[in-house]
Amino acid sequence: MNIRRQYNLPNCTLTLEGFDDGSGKLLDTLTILSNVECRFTTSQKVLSGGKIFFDHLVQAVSEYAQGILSGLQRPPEILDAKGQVRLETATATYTHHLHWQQPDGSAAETLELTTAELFDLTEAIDQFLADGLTLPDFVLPLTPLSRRHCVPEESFADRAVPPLVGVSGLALTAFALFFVPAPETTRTDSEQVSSGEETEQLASATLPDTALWTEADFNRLGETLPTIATDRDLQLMQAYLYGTLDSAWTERDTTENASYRLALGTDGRLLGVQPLAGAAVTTGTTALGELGHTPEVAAIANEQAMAQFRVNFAGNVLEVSPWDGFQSSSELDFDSREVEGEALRQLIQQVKDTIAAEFDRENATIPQTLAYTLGVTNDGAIAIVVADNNAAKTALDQTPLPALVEPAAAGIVPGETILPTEPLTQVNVVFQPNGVIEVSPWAGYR
Amino acid sequence: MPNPSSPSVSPGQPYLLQNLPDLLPEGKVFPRRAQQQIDLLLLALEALELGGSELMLRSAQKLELTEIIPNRVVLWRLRRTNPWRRSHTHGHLTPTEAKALVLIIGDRAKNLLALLRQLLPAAQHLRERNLPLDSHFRLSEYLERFRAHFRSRMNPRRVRVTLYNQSKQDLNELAIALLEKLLFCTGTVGTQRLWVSLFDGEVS
Repeated sequence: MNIRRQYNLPNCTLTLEGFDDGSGKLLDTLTILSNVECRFTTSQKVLSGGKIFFDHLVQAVSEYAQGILSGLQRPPEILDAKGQVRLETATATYTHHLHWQQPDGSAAETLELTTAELFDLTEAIDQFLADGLTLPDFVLPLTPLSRRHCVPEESFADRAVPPLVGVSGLALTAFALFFVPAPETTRTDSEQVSSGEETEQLASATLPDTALWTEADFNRLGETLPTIATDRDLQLMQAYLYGTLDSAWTERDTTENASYRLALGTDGRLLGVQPLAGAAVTTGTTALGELGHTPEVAAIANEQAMAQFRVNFAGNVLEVSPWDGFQSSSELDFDSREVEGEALRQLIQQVKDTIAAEFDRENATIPQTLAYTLGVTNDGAIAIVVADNNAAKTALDQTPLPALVEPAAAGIVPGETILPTEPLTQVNVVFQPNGVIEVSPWAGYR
Repeated sequence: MPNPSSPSVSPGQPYLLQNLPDLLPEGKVFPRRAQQQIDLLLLALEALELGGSELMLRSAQKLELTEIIPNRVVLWRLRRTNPWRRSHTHGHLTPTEAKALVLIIGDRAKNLLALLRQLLPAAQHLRERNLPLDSHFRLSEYLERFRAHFRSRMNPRRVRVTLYNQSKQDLNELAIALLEKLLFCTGTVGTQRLWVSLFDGEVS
C-alpha cells in the first residue's frame, strides 16, 4: 500500500513516500521509503532523493543545528566525506549553504537557507523522527561533540600545572609567578582514565599539527579574534608566557637556537606557532606544548582575545617579546589606582603582616636583597608575584611568596583567563638579608 | 560517555527532567561555558518580554520544578554561575539545576515562537540590505534592552565583556545569535537539542 506523509512548516515542507511492510500487521506504518521531497516555500527550491539521500540529509542537518546551538560547528574532517549533504555557514550573508551532491558527482546543487528556513527543515525532520508511524526504526541519537575535536577551556585548568615563573620589562629580566592550585578532582580523574584517554593526554603535551601555522594563518587571525591592545594586558600575557616556557623548557642546549612567532589566547593557551628563519622545529617544542593548545574555533566560541609574541630559545636563554612591540612602555604597570588614602595604608600593612607571619614561621634565610612586585586585590590577596631580577627569581623559594600567591583571587585561572578580572594594586616588596621586609605601594601613597 | 538514549530514571525527580540524559562525565563539575550559555539565553528572554524573570518562575511552576527553583533568589543564585557576571561566585550548577533552567528556556521560547519568527526574518532582511538594525521597531526594542541588561550585569573587568561593551554592533550580533538559538529551542526536541549542545567539546 502506498503511504505518503507530509510535515508542514511555514518555510519548508517535507514529504515522505513509501509503503508498509506488506505483512498487514503494521497497517498505516510507513516502513519502506521510496522517495523524499523537501520543498522550501519562499524560494520554491526542491531537494529530492531516496533513502540514502534522506539518511545523509537528516544526519547533516541535525549535526549542523547542534552547532548553531553550541556555537561549535563540527570540523570538516569528522564529517562523512561520502555524505551527499553538507552544510556550512555563509558569514557574509548571515545565511547557511546546503550543498547537495550525487555520490558519482553527476549532479550537485547549493541552496541558500535563512536561519528560519533551516530551523523549519530541522523541525520537520524532528517531527518525522518523533512520528512512530513513519520509519519507526529510524533513530538519530543526539550526542555532544567530542573533546577530541574541540579542546575545551576546562581541561587545561584541570591539569596539575607546576609553579610558573614569568618575565617582562625592558630588558626582559623581571619574572612573574602564577601558581595554579590543582583541583581536587584531578587526582580521581587520572586514576579513572582509561588507556585511550591516557594516550590523548600524552599527545596533548606536544604540539598538535593544527597548531603549526603559516604566515597566512597569522594574518587571518586578526579578523577572527580581537587583539589585545593595552600594554598592561600585553605585559601580563608576556609574563605568563615567559613563566610557563621557562619552567617547561628543561632540555636546554647551549648550541641550539630557535625563534618562533606565536599567538596566545587570553586563556593562556597556544592558538598557533610558526618557526622563524629555518628554526629547527625540535628546539623548545616540548616547552611550547606545555602551554596547551586551543583550536581557533574554540577560542572564537569562548570569546577570547589574543596577542602575538616572538619567542627565542637562544642557547640556554629564553626571550619573549610582543610581536608588534608595546604601545608606549614595557614597564610593568597593572596598578588600578583604586585604593587610596587610609585604605591603601591598611592594605599595605595587611600585605606586610601576611608576608611577615609566613616568613617567621618558615625561618628562611635571604642570601641578598630580593625585590618583587606584587599584584594585590582590594581584599589583600596576593594574586601576582613578579620577581624584579634574576637573583630574585632564583631565590624565590627562600621567600614565603610561593605559599601566599592566589591568582584565582583576581580571577586568574589558566585555561580560562590569565588576565586579572579584579582590580589590583601594584605593591613592591623587598626582602633584606638581615630579615627586614619592606612593603610599599608601587605608585606611592596617594 | 553515558549512553544518551537511556536517561537515568530516579523516582523522586520531576518527570520532565528525565527527558534530558545525564551527559556529564563522572566526577566533573558542570562546564562553565554551559553556565554562561544558559544565563545568556535567559538574559535574551528577559530582553524579549517584560517581567521576564517572573514569567520564568511561572514556567518553573507549570513544569513542576518549584522544588528546584522555588523563588527569585534561587533563580538569581543559579544564574550567578555565569562566569561573566559581576556577582559571579565560582560555584557550579548541579545537573538537576541546569536541566531545570534548560526546561524553562525551552518553555519560554515556545511561548515566544511567533515573536521569534517575526524578529529573525526582520534581522535577516535588514542585514542583507546593510540597513541599521534599529530601523525595525520591535527588534530595536529587544536589542536595546539586551544591551542594557548585558552592560549592567556583566563584569566589565573580563576582557571579552569589555570588548562587547565597547561595541554596540558586537553586542547586537550576540543578541541575534541568541535569538537564533532560542528559535532552535522551540522545536519538538528543542530542549533536548539545547541540553546536548551544552556538552559540545566537554565529553571524551
